[in-house]
Amino acid sequence: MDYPLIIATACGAIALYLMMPRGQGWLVKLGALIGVLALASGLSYLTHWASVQFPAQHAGGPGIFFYAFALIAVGSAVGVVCHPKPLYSALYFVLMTLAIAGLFVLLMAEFIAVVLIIIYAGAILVTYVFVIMLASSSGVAAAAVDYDRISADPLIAVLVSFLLLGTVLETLFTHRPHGFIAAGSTSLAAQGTHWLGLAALGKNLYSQYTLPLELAGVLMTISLVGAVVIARKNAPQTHMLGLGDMPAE
Amino acid sequence: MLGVFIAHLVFTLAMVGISTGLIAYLILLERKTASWIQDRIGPNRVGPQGLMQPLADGVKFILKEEFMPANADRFLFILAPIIIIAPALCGFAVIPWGGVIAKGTALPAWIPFIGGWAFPANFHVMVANPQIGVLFVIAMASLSVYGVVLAGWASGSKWSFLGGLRATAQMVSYEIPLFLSLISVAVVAGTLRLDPIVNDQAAYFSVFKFLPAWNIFVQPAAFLMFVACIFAESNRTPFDLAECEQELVGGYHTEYSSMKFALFFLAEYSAMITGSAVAVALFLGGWHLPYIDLILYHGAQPVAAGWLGALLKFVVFWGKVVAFLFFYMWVRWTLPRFRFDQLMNLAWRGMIPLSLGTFLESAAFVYLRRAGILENRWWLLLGNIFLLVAVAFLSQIIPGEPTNRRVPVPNSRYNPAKSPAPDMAVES
Repeated sequence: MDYPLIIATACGAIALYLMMPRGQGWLVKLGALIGVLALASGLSYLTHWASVQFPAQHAGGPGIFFYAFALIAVGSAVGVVCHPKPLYSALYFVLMTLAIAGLFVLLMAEFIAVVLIIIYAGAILVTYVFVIMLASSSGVAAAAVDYDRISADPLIAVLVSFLLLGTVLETLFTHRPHGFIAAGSTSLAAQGTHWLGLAALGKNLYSQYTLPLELAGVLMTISLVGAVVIARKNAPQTHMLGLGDMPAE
Repeated sequence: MLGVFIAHLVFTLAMVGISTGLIAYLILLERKTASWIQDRIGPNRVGPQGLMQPLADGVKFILKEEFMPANADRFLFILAPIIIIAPALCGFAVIPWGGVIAKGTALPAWIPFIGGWAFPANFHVMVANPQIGVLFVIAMASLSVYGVVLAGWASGSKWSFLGGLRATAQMVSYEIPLFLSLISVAVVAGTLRLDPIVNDQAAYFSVFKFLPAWNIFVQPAAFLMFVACIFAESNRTPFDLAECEQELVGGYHTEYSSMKFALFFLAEYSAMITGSAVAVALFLGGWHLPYIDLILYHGAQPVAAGWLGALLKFVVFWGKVVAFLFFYMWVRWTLPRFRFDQLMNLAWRGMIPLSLGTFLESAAFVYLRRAGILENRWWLLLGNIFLLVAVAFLSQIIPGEPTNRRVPVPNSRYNPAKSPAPDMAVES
């Protein structure tokens, strides 16, 4: 067990709970302060830990880009949960996706990075924004709706998510599964380039992971067909206009 | 290493300069094209033949009043033009503008300080050459929708809002066939980098030796869909429903003025340039100048060249890009706009099935080529033509959604219920 890490996680949970939108400014500021402290201490502990555990790979540290992208990712993730306006939350989500794509590029996984941008930022979140735009309009008056401004169940959400985070950290840092390396370390190239790149990814997907790939394809097809089936049950035009039963044309 | 880095930097800055300068003159070309097509003279007051018009436009943009609607979301209102211009400019990064400068090509000796410096390795005349190549362009194009959406939402105006909604639906729909048509080309080339795809096309068909093996001739169906989709992605007529003047005033940029509006303009034109450049690289043979290479190189044009070769390739590439841009404008002033349901039907009922077809065909061709059954790209052309004919035939047979449906609205003459207005009977 890494107690500093657990304390930092707990502080992060408290900070996030305080920062949840409920309309009191000073609580949010206090939460932000605790959050920054927790993040800084957790990060410095992790850096120290990595330099002890992997002295060879850690020479020079992860570099400025890793910290920049990681901080943007964490900060915008907080923004997703804590911003009182839903459209801003969705935009923070986009920012987080871009930062994570940056982290993938640092890990030389360009394809995953680009696909993340295309699928999440370019398709899924556009749909989110579309729905949010339909549900809420801009302007001063519309922003003050209560169900947007006050989070519904902050305690349960924070508890569950940080328990999950704690479990993941615990697994990673005490049991350390095989192949785990310090993020952003420069030693990736030393591991050999045979598993890098697009061609290797394709070969892997179609040799070692053929069955999961095909299953995912089948799942997607089923959901596509399902969407079409649901969308095709269009209500008769006449009901919507309140005219009773009209002969269909 | 530092030298190569500086070379990249210089080239990047030059490309940004060329393309933004070009955009100013593209706007002039657009207006001139409009006037030629409409049998007018067009702008001819500023400078000789109106050539200084872009400068006057720029000054006018700067001097206009900055207007912010009272109902606007101030932060997003300012952010939207920035968000739309940034990805539009990023797309330039992976375009192979001029082939490869060969290793050892030296700068002329008369240049002070750096004269005589030679490239230590082959230099790709592009900003970056990542493995993901064309996917990067798609990723940037898919981000550009946020600028439109946010502009529509943040303005706090109904026209802008409706324009933003339309743009979202349109761009999300047209991304799918765009993606699939790009992938059908990439599958046959076996790479996503634009550079080798261009090199692949610098050849001739072996059946019809006079026809260059450009992808437009190899996969015409994919090319047609690609062109339609980049028109839709850059919000140009006939797909400019998002800024449809008759219905939505100016669409998503109704409330924008001065330089913020200019940024929207700039983004539209840089999206056009990126789209044309990708079209040229993927389908129109890139820097390949047909028949001239037969005379100069006897058919086997070397990929890496010296200064003169690289410059020639650069000029040829840009020539094709400008020609394609002219095509954009030509279409804009020729074709009328779609109706929105026609737009959606074209994407979902026409182009997505067709693009799935071309993709399957390319995959099958690659499989058969590996198995050694089909060698020639000629078969792909035949398959594409067959596919186009089949789709044209099937679309006549398959019963469509009834368009122009008569909706029994109260008081309408299509309403069989008793209609309260007596004068309706006279009309029928």
